[in-house]
Amino acid sequence: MSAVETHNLTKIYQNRHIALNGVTVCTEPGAIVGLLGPNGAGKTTLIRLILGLHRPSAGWVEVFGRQMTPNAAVLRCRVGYLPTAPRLPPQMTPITYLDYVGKLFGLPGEVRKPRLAAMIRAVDLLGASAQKLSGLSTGMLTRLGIAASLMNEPELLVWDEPTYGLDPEARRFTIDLMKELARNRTLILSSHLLHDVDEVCDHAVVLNQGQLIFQGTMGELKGRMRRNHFELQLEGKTKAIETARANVSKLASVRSASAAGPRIAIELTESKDVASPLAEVLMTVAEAGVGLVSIHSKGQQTEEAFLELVESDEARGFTRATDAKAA
Amino acid sequence: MWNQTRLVGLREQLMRRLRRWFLPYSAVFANDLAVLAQSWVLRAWLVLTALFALVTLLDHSSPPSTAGHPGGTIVAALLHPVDTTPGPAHTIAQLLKFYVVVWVSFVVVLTGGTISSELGVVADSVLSRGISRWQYFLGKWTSRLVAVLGVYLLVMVPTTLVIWLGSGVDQVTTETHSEGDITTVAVVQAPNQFVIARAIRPVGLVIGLARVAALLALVATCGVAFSASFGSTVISIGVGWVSIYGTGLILSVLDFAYFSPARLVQELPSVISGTYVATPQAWLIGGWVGLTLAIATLSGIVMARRDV
Repeated sequence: MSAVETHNLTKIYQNRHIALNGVTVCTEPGAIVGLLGPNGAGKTTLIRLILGLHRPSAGWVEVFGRQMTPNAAVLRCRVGYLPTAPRLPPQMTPITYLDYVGKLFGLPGEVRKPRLAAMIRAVDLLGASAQKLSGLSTGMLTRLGIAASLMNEPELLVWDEPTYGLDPEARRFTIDLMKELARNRTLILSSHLLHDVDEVCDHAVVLNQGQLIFQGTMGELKGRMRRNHFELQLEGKTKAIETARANVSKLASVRSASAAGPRIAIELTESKDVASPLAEVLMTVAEAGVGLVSIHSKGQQTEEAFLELVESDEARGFTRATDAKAA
Repeated sequence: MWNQTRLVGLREQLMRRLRRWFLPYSAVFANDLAVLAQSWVLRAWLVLTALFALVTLLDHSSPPSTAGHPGGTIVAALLHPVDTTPGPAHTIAQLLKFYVVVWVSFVVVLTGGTISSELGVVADSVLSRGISRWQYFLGKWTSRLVAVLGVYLLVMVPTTLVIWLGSGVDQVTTETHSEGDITTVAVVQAPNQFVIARAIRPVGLVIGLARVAALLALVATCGVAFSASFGSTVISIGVGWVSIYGTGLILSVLDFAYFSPARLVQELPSVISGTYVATPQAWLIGGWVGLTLAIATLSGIVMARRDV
């Protein structure tokens, strides 16, 4: 039984805007799925459909093998949701808010009270537990939102942009928490910050313009990438760096080389073996009398992988419709 | 023995399920009431109704025949510039008339944003939890009903009691009408003259209060229904005002005055003084309560099917 399964999920708002188009995804229990896509790709719509906040125009969503609907309260008791930049009732305090959320999940007092105390302690809001929510910072509100999403001890966590608006310290806290929580839960993480997804997730779902363009492991996502793109960070005189670039571009195994300040981006010719041409490039650089600071493969970056997926999907244009029909 | 154990188990299971259902509902209900208690609209309405009741009480305690006369008070002239029979039934009817004609607009404002103001982000953090749309809707609807009827009763019950107990009835006569209903007429002693004024009958008073309460419940339910149907609070309040006053006007203009607020206002003094036929009164109140429940059910269905 899948944790989340959607079939041919389509959402059209007021017959004007197609937010999601025939999305079929399947998330296995225990998976940590990164939901990626540019703005307007349909990520939040997909999340809202998974939670039963919206009704699909066509297709269906199943959570733990049962169809999700707006009235499927029992099913939502197994899901913890963190919305983007949670806006919470301003007149409440963290304690009253978590108590309220506990009641919404139907938790009796003897379960609710100890759990909310533990949650407040876990998200480090003990000092602010008596403060009104209107006086809490974005980071504190996000931490409280995280606590609220865990009040029902959910089997499935759906977090929409959890690191949105957080300072580096709070972001690190959230990422570490996600890693910890994902050990025994299914986690769907929607984020614009690809580094976060890269760090936490083992699976990825990529949406673009309401369509599913990739579903698989993070390894598969990166594996689709250009493996022959490298970037060298150099140090030395500008003239020497330019000489190095010119010499590198003359190599038979190099398709192109471009310099941008102390960095040289190179594209090798298609070859199964990358090590030999790369060694040749490094030798040429050394001969030009410049130092090598760092080298990294652009193809192994999630961001690059994601962008290439989106670009190639957009380039396909009309053929997408044909593919969808054939499928 | 086994049956008894099974019965106990079933009862416990049932209780657990009931508690499980009741908790989310009561959470929304209590939270909404707490928010309403801090709302300036509700506070303003309570203060204004209480102030109006106080002014009416003061006017009632002043010489009754002075209104419309050269020496009459301004307050008396404003409240009943034409009608010069200000008995206790009439005074209460005046108060109730204000609820039907003026205070309903506050009720529309108070209920028009019940759900629409929460749609989107705040609703996300409620409706994404273990609560069904029906529980949410019922919690919101009942809390608004309690708030509206609570303010109404909080002001009207003590006011009517004061008017009733202090009406100074000296002599009561009873007349039998052709329909068989009873009118109680009291001779009220004013400081300098006697006037014929309608006295209050307890059952009539309860019926009068219940009629206005049923109308307020209907208006409150319409407000919640509009807020569940429209995405904007401004639109739901606007539609609420137009439909409440528009429907009242249409019912009054057309030959379908049975349910019209105008007729309700006209009949109030007679009803409060006991001049009524019980069965149509019961049908009228029952009809409004039924309509209220029907509108609530329909809007619950709309709410359960809409995107939030």
